[in-house]
Amino acid sequence: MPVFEKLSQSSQARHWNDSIPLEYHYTAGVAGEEFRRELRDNGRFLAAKCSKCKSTYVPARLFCPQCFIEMKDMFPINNPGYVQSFTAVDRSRDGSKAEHPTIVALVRFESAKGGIIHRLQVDRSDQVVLGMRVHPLLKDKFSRTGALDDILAFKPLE
Amino acid sequence: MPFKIGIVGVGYAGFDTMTPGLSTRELMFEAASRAYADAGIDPRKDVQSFICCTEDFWEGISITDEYMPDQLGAVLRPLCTVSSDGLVGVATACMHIASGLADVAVVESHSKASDVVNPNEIMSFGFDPVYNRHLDVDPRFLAGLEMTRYLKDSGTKREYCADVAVKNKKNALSNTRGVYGTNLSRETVLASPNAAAPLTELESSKVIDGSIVMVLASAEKAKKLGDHTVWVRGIGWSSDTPVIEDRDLATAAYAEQAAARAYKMADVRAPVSAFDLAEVDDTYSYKELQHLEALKLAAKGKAGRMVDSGSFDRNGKLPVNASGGSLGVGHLLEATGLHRLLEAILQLRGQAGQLQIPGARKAVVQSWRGIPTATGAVAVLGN
Ligand SMILES: [Zn+2]
Repeated sequence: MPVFEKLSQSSQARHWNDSIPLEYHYTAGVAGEEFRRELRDNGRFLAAKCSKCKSTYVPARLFCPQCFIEMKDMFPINNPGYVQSFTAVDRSRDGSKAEHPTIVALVRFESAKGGIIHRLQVDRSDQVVLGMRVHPLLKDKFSRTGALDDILAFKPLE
Repeated sequence: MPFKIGIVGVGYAGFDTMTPGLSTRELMFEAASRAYADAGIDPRKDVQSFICCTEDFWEGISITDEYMPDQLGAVLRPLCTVSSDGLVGVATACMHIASGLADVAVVESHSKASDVVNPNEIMSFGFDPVYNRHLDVDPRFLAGLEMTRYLKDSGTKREYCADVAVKNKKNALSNTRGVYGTNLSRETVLASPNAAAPLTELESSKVIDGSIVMVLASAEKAKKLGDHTVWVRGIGWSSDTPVIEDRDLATAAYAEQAAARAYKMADVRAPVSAFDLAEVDDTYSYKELQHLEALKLAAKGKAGRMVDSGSFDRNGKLPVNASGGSLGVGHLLEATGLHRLLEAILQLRGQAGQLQIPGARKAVVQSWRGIPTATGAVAVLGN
């Protein structure tokens, strides 16, 4: 067909390896910085409320995706978190098999949109039910940086 | 006047787990040569717009679009890259033709996944750097989150997702392009290793290599090019928010909106009875069910039961993924939408071989861009 001559022996099919070394400084932005500061200093999650559609978003962000307007009203939420969905995965990011399965959940907060995706600290995934109340397990104040891994995991409320 | 743009040529190459005998560009050259022969055109004279759908990270070149012209016959011709699924490239070609910029436009997309040493990491680095990269886990965790929520909200039995994998892998046995065709039982699918619970490995499609090229033409030009034109009667595409936490994980809102636009263009009023076949995204088993409901080919929460009862079998009421889909044929990265378009075109031309659905005249094709996106496109076809 189109290509006249093709390789016909697997030993002719050569390849070489190379990689692309990439590094970035990701900026969290105005709302992102506020969110990180609140998490680091007070161990709370910052939300933003839209003045038009009255939706509350966690994490806080600068603009409402529905109304396309700036959100200026930012406040920490104290609403309880609950499991909106969950899964269990056996592999790491690079595809290698991990020692233990990780239970990952989308945690939402009552009357707020958005949420936080994080580890759930339970022994087995069959202990998790949708809607179950959870609270964050945080690093101690002095080792927090504001990043999402200041949260060690979410844990069911007793 | 109703919307009508012709697909006058198709060509493909590859469709295997590895293609070590050809470079990416040679693979494209092969697919393009076939498509141009099929359409009866000379790319150096007859084409006014070339469109590629590629991603730098999958290619391993940071300006991959610059490497596209030669193997398509597009040197010193208008060419652009659409960084999305191939079906969005087809929409772009339709716009170029509808606007009068081009009489004939070419769309290409490919996967050389076998060249990528760490595909999982590419998928993972699609997640938000600030809010979603703190977990060192398989990126398919998002599929697990979606599936859990879909099952809950739709009331679908978990076993019905496994039935999707059984159906599609069985269909692929009759497809010459089907890399992952096999006869499995529901129990085998359910018992296969965990991917992202409840999703199992046999419900998660595997990548393959391939290149697909389509030649599109205006209605007037198409009349002069061969006698196997398949018409695009409507096309739509849509993206939901990239903020995963905001999304309704249970439904495929992007597909619902893309379908509504394509249906409106094509004047499809009752989708359930409008088509002879459907090729919908099945990157993961539950995705087929979500997408069937978004496309209104099944009522909300009913797609699973319809798969179970055989409504979507090759000889069922509406054959869905008669080709074997991504679960049966393999996943072609950004070329996945073009692959499914190819399968639908061959059906409407009556060239689907053993897969042929007798008297197929109308089809709907839908694509999804994969994890972590919420982008999809829908095309309505007629012959
Ligand atoms: Zn708003």
